[in-house]
Amino acid sequence: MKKQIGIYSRLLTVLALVAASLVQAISFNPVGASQITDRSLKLIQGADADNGGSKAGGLVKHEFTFTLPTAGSVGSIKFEYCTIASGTCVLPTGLVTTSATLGDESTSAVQGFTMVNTTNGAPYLTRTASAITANAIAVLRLDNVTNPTTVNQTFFVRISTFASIDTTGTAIDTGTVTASTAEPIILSGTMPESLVFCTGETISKTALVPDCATATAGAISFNQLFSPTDTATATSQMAASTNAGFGYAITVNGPTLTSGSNTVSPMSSSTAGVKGLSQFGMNLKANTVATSTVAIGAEVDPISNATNYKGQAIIGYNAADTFKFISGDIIADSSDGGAGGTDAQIFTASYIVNVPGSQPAGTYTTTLTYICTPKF
Amino acid sequence: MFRWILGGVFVFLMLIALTPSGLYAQQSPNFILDEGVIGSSGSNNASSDSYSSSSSTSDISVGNTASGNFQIETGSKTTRDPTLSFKMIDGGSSLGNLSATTASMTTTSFSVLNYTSYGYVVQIFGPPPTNGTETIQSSPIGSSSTPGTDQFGINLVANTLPYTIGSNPDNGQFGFGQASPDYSSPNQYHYTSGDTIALAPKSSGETIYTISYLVNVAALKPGGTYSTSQTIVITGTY
Repeated sequence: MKKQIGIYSRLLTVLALVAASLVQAISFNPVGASQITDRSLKLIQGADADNGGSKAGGLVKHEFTFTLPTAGSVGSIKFEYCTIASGTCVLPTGLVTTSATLGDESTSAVQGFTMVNTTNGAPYLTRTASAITANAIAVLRLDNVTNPTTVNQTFFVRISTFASIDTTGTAIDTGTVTASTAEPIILSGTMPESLVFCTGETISKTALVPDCATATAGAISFNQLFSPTDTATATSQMAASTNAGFGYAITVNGPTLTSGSNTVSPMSSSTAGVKGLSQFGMNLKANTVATSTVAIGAEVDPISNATNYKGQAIIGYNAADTFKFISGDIIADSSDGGAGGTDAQIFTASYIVNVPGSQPAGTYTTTLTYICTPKF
Repeated sequence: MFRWILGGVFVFLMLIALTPSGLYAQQSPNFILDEGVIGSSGSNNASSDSYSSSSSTSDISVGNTASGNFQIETGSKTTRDPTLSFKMIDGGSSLGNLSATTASMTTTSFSVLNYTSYGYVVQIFGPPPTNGTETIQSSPIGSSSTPGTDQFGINLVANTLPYTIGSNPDNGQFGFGQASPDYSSPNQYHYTSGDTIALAPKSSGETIYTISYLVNVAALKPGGTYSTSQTIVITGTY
């Protein structure tokens, strides 16, 4: 009898060990719901332009994509926002879902929902309960969600499906996704405002680019003595470039030619020179022999192309063989193709003088000042 | 008779074996011991509302083992919950004075940790630098620095041209992050808002990314301060 009890005792011990091993080997998921798989939360920018959807406190869209493993009836899907993935849910600071609306669900295999957003942080979608197939892929977007207001804040959304239409009862499938707000990157750099402007009797180019370093002195003499039978001429040059967004304008400033109390009359309107009249005028064009025995002047160089060369003479000063002089006039600007910045160009100013026979003798001079004003 | 008793004991033990053990163990209204194990590792994430602890004893191995369809996280911290951590290490960056003759560059850094996931993607959003209605044009894929032309581009790797600047993604011990193809070529800079600039193909420890910014401007670029605000968006799949 004792021997028999010993055999049974050993057998009982073996069975107990086998059963204990099975406890470890055939364990069960303690949670009744099935795990939602392939789940993600994508933050998409909303009304706030270019915030990318992760702006702290931004009004954005939350797009959930996930696979529901369980076939059966689904009447509601809950999205519970928390600071931690599991355990007692704490609402992320600043998160607002009470204005949330249902966004696009057209690509979802599970659709036909309406939004219930009465509880902040726990909105849910509801519909008349209907069946879904196993592994149905849901793509559901909640619009008008205000992100948590803390930057770089990780938050979790616990997704649960229910057969009921109001998230009551036991969850069918559950899964948690996470996302984070992000501190924006602020990037800045300064483009210095620039204006290069110079005047002189001549200005040359260096490597095909007008170079103010080559400008010569600005004391200019006319080509001949003033005469009632011939037109005296002279030229000067100026170069300008700017990155001003609205370009530049150049004005000429100064009195007409003067000798004591005697003057040469400035040409108040754009007209051709007439020998024997009292005339002092200028333009910015290439003139012909119609004006003087030797043609004077030149077109703006390089020629404007309405893109990176925008300099041009202004009406009154932009017609060959006609001249004008009013102090303060704008004689040129950089508006060819629209006002804007321009690369350096050389303007050639041509001056003419005609005098009547009664013009008092003397040396007639003037000091002209050119002012180039950029508008940024 | 004894055989009947023995059979009954066996059935009883089998019922115990087939009963969900988690329903009875390691949980109370205030505490939960999640993934408690007996062996070389300790119990992970013993927590309440106010406290959390993680313990470890003599891990045999740690890290991530993965194939195309499966992955295993080895070590003490094997919580089943998803984890996403984003940190902007240096979010403000000045390019200084822009010039038509020399490139302007600067860097910012951020880190991403995305645990218990099937990877993540990092997107960048925001316009190129603007000044009123003026915009510095984004450079296309594969652009190198060309002073005197409008260029705004970024990459996430170490560069030598036009300057030695930037870093490759720093994956530490357990990171698997990488720059995406359009942003992983040294000395080439590109920018399109909404592009994926980095990714991890599987669950990843912390990766530190450094964004290198390149700006060139045309000589006629209107003067003023050009600025932009950009946002990083990380989407993990769990």
